[in-house]
Amino acid sequence: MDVFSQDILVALAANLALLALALIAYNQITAFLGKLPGRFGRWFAGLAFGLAAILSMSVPIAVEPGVLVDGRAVPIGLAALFGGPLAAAAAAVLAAIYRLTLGGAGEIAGLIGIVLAALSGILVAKLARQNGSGLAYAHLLLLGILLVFSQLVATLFLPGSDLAYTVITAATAPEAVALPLGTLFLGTLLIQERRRRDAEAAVIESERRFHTITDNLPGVVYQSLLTVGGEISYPFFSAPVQELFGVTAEEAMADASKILNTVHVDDFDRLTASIKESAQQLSVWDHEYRVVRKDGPFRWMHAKAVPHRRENGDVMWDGIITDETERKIAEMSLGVANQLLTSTNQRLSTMYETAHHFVDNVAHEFRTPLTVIKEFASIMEEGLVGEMNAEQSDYLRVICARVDDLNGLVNDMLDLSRLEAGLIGVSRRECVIPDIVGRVESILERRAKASGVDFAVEIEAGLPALFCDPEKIGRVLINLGINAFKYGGEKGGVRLWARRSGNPREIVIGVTDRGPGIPAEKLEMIFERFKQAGGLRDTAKGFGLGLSIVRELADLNLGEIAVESVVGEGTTFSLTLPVFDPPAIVARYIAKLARERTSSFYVSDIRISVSGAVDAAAAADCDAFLQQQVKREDLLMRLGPDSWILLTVDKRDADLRSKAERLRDGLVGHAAEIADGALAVEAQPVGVWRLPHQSEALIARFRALRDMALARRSA
Amino acid sequence: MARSLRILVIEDDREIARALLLRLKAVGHDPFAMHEGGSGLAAAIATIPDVIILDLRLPDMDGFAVLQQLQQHDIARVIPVIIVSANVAERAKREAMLLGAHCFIEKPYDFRKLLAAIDRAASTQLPGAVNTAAAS
Repeated sequence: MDVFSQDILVALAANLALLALALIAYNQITAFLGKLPGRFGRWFAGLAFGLAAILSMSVPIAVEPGVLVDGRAVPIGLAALFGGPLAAAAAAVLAAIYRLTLGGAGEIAGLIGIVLAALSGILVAKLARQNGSGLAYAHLLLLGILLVFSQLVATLFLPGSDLAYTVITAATAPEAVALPLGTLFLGTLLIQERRRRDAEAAVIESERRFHTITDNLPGVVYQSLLTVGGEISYPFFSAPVQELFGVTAEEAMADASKILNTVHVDDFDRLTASIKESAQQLSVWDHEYRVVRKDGPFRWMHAKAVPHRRENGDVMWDGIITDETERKIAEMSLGVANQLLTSTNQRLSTMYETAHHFVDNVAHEFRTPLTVIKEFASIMEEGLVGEMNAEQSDYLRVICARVDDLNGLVNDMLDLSRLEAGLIGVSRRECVIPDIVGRVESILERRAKASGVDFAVEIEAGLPALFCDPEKIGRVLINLGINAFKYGGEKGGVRLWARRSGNPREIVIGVTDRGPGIPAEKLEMIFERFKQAGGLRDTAKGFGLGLSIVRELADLNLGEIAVESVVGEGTTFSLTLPVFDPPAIVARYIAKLARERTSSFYVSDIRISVSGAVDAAAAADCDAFLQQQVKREDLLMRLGPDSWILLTVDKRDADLRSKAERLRDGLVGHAAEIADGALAVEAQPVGVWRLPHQSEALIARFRALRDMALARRSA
Repeated sequence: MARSLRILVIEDDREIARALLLRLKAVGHDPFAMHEGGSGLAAAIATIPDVIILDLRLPDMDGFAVLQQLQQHDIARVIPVIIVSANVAERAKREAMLLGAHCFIEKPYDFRKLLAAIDRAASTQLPGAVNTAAAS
């Protein structure tokens, strides 16, 4: 390389240094302007790179007169890489115009050099885009080499081969060194600047995103700091803090007391204690507290924050706070509703007790004077205080009989009110006709005597056992008897009878009088009343209280009432009751439930048994206990001395299990009272039956149970 | 009528007590009456009658309490107690029987039934026995 070439190289280096200054200025300007939008940015790049090329040409090395060697190719080539083809074209045009104004022998070659430099840049930019991984140093190097060639080619267009030769020999070597190095150097400068700016933009974008998110969250995102010295501060609060606490984020971050002062005075100590605990154990801080805002009533806040200890011992939490006021209010109103329900339940059960007691008390108040009247009438009638003549005795007997009637009425009213309140208990069990008739026979006899009516009891021999509540059926018979004495007894007397019906699973008990009978239309009315299992209040329409009770008690006992009457001959009221045959009883029970319902329903069975030190009396007591637990719609059957089946209209598994549990616990507790030895009690839900569809299956099950019980009894 | 029994009637209604005394005397028994639970209990312990007829509703202590106290007394516990009450609730009957009553008769009572119950009670006198036989 000769001295001249060395001069060119130095000049080129200076030229490139100038370019570097220009590009740094460009970076500053673009950084100042910010990211320019699309096309405008490209035009600006084109302008800048064009001006750089002009700057480069303004300090040229004149190799020959009119022939200029400089670094212009570098900014024009880079223009394509950093501003795209448009910028390259713009820069090229600017540079070309400037070159034309300079004129000289190298004018055409210069223009060609400019165009080729731009094309080189566009070519490399395209390569870099195709590569996909972006601009690399290799691309810059490639561009540098292409620029060397483009300048070489341009030189060929100098007028006259001598001139071209001179320029090539003098300039090629310095250009081959300076252009690639320059491109690499300046390109790197631009790439780094671009990366720096991209990174900055990414940071700005992520910060913007962070704020967008935290500002729009339905809660506050925050950081709090507890120093070793025990001071609390809030390095960060998201904007919603204003909405929740009524304090702006800036205020809160500047002055922690602004936030702490909003905490409800009653919650403050608890709050600070829990913060300390979280700091000591580095456990998640999960806390609910109230905040009092200037603009209204307090709000409930729920804060959850994760602590971490810093090197200097301070503890920093990252957390969120949400406004839980609505939920708290809902919870509290649920609590209030629960409380209300509990107190209502208590009130209801108190009312239930009160009603029970009231009815008992009223009855008690009636019975006491009735006892006095009856006693003194009897004393006089029996002649204990002086002889009575026949007429006087007769009147006194009437008084006694009517006192019994009145007492029956009191019992009826008692039953009526209990039936209406659903309080009446029914204790259906295996019993025989003498159990029932025995308890009412003497009362009816006395009553007949007082009314001067013949009274007879006719019971068919060898009747099977019944399934009913003997006390309740006794009440039915008393009512039917009194009815007969009143309306039909004058002539031929009254008969109380019991016999088999056509159906082997039923027995009929009846009261027949030889009175005037009931006309057909009135009979039909009475019969209709019996059929409608309707309101008890129809007593007001002239249907006697006694007959209303009869119907209800019959219904409670799975029985049916019928009335037959022939005018001039007499009237018969009869009650059909099931014999003690489990499948037949269940069939009646299902039929009764089905009559009271329109759609299908469920019945479940619970098997109950006691074993251990059970004597007959203890077992009877267990039976009495179970009978008390039975609801009106349930059916309890004692299948053996110590085993029962309870049918209930419950169907939910949990209800059944808790019911079984209640029975078991009750029996165990009860057994402790009555028996010395321990009782083993079992109460187990067995199955759920959909009725009436599965009626046959349920009845068949009870048939099997009956056969088993019979086998055990005979064994 | 097998023999004359000494019968204590604890009954707050004086008319009922009077009627009972009259009729019991008329059939040959030797009755006397007390009108409160406390005085009745004291009389029972002091005199150990053959049979006690006890009302449940009494002004000071109720019949259940009287029954309980009687049961705790070594000698008085053997006296059979017949409850005669206008409280005919099943609960009352059960409780009385559990407390050791001999039987339960409802008011208004049938005097013949009461007499039969007295005879039965006097003849089946067992020390401290809990007789579960119902009156009806």
